[in-house]
Formats: sequence, C-alpha cells, structure tokens
Amino acid sequence: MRIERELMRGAGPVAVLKLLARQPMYGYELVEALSQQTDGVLAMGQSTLYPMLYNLEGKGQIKAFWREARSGRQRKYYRLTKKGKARLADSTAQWEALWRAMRGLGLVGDGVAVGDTAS
Amino acid sequence: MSGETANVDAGRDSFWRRLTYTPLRDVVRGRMTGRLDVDAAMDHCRLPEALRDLIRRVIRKTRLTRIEKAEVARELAGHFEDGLASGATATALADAFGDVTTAAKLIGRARRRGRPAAVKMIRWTAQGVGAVFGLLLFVYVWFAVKLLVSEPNITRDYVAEFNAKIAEIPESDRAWPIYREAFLGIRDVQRRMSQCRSERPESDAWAECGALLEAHAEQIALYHEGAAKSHLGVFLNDTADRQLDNPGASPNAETNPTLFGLILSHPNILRVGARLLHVDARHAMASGDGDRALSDVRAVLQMVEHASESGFVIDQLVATFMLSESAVFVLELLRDRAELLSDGQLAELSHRLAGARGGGALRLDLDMERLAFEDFLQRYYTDDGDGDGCLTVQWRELCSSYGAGTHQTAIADDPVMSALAPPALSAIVAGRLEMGARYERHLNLVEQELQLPLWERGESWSDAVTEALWSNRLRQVRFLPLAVLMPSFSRAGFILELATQRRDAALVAIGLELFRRRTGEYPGSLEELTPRFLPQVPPDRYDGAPLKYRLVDGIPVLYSVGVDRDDDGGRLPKADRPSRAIEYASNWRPPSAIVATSDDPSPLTVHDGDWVLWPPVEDPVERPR
Repeated sequence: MRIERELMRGAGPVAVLKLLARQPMYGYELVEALSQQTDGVLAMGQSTLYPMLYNLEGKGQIKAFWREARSGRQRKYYRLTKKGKARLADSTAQWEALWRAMRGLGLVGDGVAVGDTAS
Repeated sequence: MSGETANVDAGRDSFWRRLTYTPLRDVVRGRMTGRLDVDAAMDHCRLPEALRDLIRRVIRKTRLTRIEKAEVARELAGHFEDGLASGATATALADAFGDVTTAAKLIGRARRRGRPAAVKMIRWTAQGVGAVFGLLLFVYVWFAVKLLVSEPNITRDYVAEFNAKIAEIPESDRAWPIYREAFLGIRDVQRRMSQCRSERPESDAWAECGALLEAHAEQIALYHEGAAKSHLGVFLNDTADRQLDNPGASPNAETNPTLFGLILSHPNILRVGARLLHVDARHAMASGDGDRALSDVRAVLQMVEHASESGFVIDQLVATFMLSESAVFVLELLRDRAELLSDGQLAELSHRLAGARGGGALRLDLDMERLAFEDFLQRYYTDDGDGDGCLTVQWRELCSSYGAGTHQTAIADDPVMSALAPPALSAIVAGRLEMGARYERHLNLVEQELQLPLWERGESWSDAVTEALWSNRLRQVRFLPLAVLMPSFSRAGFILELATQRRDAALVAIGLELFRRRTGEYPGSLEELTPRFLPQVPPDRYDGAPLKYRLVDGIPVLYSVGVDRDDDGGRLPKADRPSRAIEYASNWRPPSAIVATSDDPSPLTVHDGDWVLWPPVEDPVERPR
C-alpha cells in the first residue's frame, strides 16, 4: 500500500526512532527493517531515508558513529540520543491517542498491531 | 569518531592531488589522507560502475562542502556494499535509491540544516559579505563601463570665439605686438627693474636704476607706443606668446584648448611694463621733467584699460594693481614735486584716474569665469541634449593637472586611487546640470558680495560656502570639479576696495592741490572742494562716511579710520616702519572678527590707528653701515 507523503512525513521519523530505540543500526539495515517489519508500508528508498537520518541527526535526536564491520570496512551506525528518546515517547503517546481516536470513529479495528507502546 | 580512516589508497594518487584533497587538520598532523577526494574514493571502492556513478551524480548535486560530500559518499557507498552483501543486485539497489536529483536536494538540505550554528553563521556572513561585495563590484563595473564609454560633446571653441573678435580689430589698433617686442627687450632685467621701484633719489642704487632706464629707452618708447593703441588685441593660445615669459613651457599644440588651462602671458608683460614706466616716472619727477612723468602715468592708465580687455579675473587684478600703483605715484608726485604739473595736467590726471576701469568703485567682472566653467562642463561631461550629463573619464587628467596642492591631492597624487577612484567617484559626483547650477549659485553669491562696498561687508559668504564644501567629505567629492576650479574671490574683492581707496585719495589730493593754487591755502573741509575740484567727497571704504580730513599745522591730512573703524585723528598705528603701519591699518578684517584694538595686537585684535592716505608715508631709505 502506498502511503500519502504527508502521513509518511509524520510516521517515517518516528518509525526510525523506534527501530533505533532497540539497538543502533546502519542505513541499509534500517531500510530492510522498515520494509520487513511494516510489510512494506513504510518502505522507503535511500533518497528518503538518508535525508531523514541527517535531519534527525541535525536535531540531535540520533547520533552517528563509525564501527568496523565484519568485512573489515568502516560502517556508519546510528543510535538514539536522550533527546531522541524523549521525542519517541512523545510521538508514541500522540500515535496512541490518534489510534484510539480513529478506533472510536471505527476507522481502525481491534487486532491491529501497534508494536510496543513504551520503551 | 567519524570514519577518519580513508578508504582511499593514498599510494595510487599523485602527491599534489592528495594534498589538494586532504583536510588541513590532517596536513597539520602530517597525514596526507586525501579523504576529500570523492572521485578517487569511488574509483577505489568495490562497487559496480553504475552504483559508483550514481553516488558521484548525487554528491555533485548536493552543494555541500568537500568534507560533507566525502562523508555522504562514504556512507552511500557503504549502504550499497551492504546491499550487495545481502544479495541485492546493483540494479535493484539503484532502482530503490530513488530520484537522484531529489535525493541530492534532500540530502544537501538536511546536511546543511544539521550544520553547527557557528558554521552556519560563518557561512551566512561570508555569503552576505560576498553578496554585498558582488553587488558593489557590479555597481562599480557598471559605473566604470559607463564612464569609459561616455564621451563629452565639445560644441564650442571658446578660444576661437575670443580670437575671432580680436581678429576683427585692425592690426594697426592692436598694442600687443608692440608690448611683446618691448618685453623681449627687458625680459632679462625685469627683476632688477622691479627692485628699482622702491629706490629713491637718496638711495645708492638710484643712479644704477637711472642707467638701466637709459639703456632701455627704446623699450620705454615701445610701451608708450603700445599704450597709445585703442586695443590690446592679444590672441589667446598664441604659440609664440606661450613661451614669452615661460621659456621652458612647451607650445600648446592642441586645437580648441581649455579656457581655464590657458597660459596667459600678457598680464605679466603688462605688469612689467607698468613697473618700468613707474620707475621712469619717478626718475622724471626727480629730474624735474613733469611732462615725461605725466606721459608715463598716462601710458600706464591706458595699459590698465588694455589689461582689463580680455575679462579674465587675473587680468582685472593686474589692471587694478597697475591703477593702484599709479595712484600711489600721483600721491608722491603731489607731495614732493606738485609744481611739475600744470593745472590742466592735474585736471587731466584727475579725469583719467577717475575714469580708469569704468570709474566709480572698482568691480570684478566674472563673465569669463562663467565661460571657463561652461567650457569645463562641455569637456568633462556628456551632453544628453537637455543640459544634463554625467562625468566622463577625462576628468582624471583634470584632477592630475590641477589637484596638486589642493584639497583633492589625496586622489590626484595617488596613482592607485586615481586609477580606481573614477568609476566610484563618477557615481557620487554631481551631474552636469546640478554642477552648473551650483557653480552659478556660488558665482552669483560672489558677485553679490563684491557689489557691496567694503564697509557693508562682514564675513565672506562665498568663503563660508567654500568652507562648508570642504568640511563635508561627501559634498567635497560630489562637487569635486568645483573644489578644483573654484577660486576664492573674497581676497580679490578686498584688493579692489583698497585700490579704490587709493585712487580716491589721489583724486582728493589733486583737488587739494588745485584748491591751494587757487586760494593760497588748503580748505578747512573736503566739502569745499566740491563740486569744482572734486565731484563729491569720496567715502571712507571702512565706515562709509566721507573720507576724514584735518589740517595739522596748515598741512592737510587725509585718512581712513582703517580696520579698527575708530577715528584716531589721522594717527598711524605703531609699527617698526611706516609701510608696516599702513599695512596694519588697511588690512581689512570683518567687524565680527574684531575683539579689541591695541598697540600690540594678537590674532584676535587689530591695530589701533588710522590709514593715512595723504601725505603718503614711505619707509626711510636704508643706507649701508
């Protein structure tokens, strides 16, 4: 399913923050995780992901670091910062409120997985 | 921390290339990493050409710094390598990447947003400064081009117009060729002749001066001959004249020369001739030859009219000087050898003096100045057909020629400034219409001031306007041509007033002599001279009241109250010599500048005493010890 850009704009960064909340990840890993764990709904190309990562990094919500991969080359990882955690918590609360509101309208039903509600 | 280790095989790149692409901090640490070389990194990474090319295209469009580009390239390369390692094909990875242009735009924007605030500030400041500089440079270039392509439209040849009028005068009526010939005969002794002016019969050099006169009797006769002509008839820009009293000067070979740049030889030649005749007149007086003395004075007064003919201010001032000197001589003649002249001769002398330079109070005619400025405008400004125009590049030569020693020296003398400044200055300097109007306003102010008699004058308005021009740097630049060409006329006006006073004194002295001859004694007041011996009592130029007159032991004393405007009964100020006392008394200053009078004045006070006009005073002859 193709999600409208405006919805992606709000969901994409939160999804990335959520993934990074579990563990630091590198760019390709994030792309794969977003695609697989959302059944392709939040799949995004590198031309979308990397600008998003740079924006989050600019806001101080994630931080980049280099680590040597098994292959021996340097790989750039991203991890969540304290600021990022705060934003994630805030966004999670908003999404939960939104979900409840939409459920109240009958737009969404029971059994829709929203993932972990808190970190 | 940020992937400092380069993926670049430094050994495969040239030293200079690596140096060019190595960050400064790495160079300082002695490490030629070359990690800013994205192209080299792409060449060396283990990706298919299609993906490497994609990365290069993205990076190129991001408009990031070299360091940022290198980091992004490294990250994207790592992403594709991870993708290939996980089994994706290069094609699939390239397709999944997204639009290159959009990606580059978004990546660039995001990275720029993420820059530290200090870096952003520096970049904005640099961009701002660059933008301002670029704008200024554009404006400068625009004005430079405008200046270079601007050409003046010279429509009038003022010198030719002047000479055309001279050409209408029959050659037989022109005095100039005769004066020129006379001057050539005394050119080498003119300095000595000038010194003879102050010699008296009792001085040691008197005989030597007499011999000099005898040796140059031919030149004296030539000056008389020239003075008898009805016109001066001098052509402007005559090549032969240019070198007459400036042997080192090169002939002015240009046609249609500037009016204000002309070298005028005739003022000096006339002045030298007048000096010669005055010296001859003194010797004639000493030897009892009244006819010759009168003839000399008559010739000088005619030369005064000749000197005024061209209309240049310098000529009028020379004419005024010659008239003033003639009046002084007449006063001395009347004091020492009045008997040499008959009643008729004295009456003739009186008429000639009274009528010299148009009679009445001496005035300056500024029409030639106006023409000279019009000439300037047509040579250094364009002409849009409506009287306006902008400065042309030719004005640089004007500043170089006339700037030395004046306020605009800083521009004219500095070669860099004089090369770079014109476009910038042309943006500031007033246009033709405004410049002409400003000049005309100033000249009108000067004329109004010069029309006032001395006793009605205060601080000079025109000098105040000129000072105001100099005091404001922007105005000074805006009206730079005025700063170059505008002389100060207040001093000229003062010179004319003093000459008028001396001439009036000579007229009164003639009247007193004629009265004495008729009645056997001097009058009790000057009113007794009118109207028979004097049309009216001349005013004291310092207070506007009639000239002051007293009889002291039967001897008349004629005087002006002088600069202190205080009637001291004809007493001269205290000074080490009489000529200095006259100078003290007559050196005009505006009433507002007078704080007090004293016998020992400072710059804020003036000398206490009167300007004695008759009998004339002179310094005693100095004899060698």
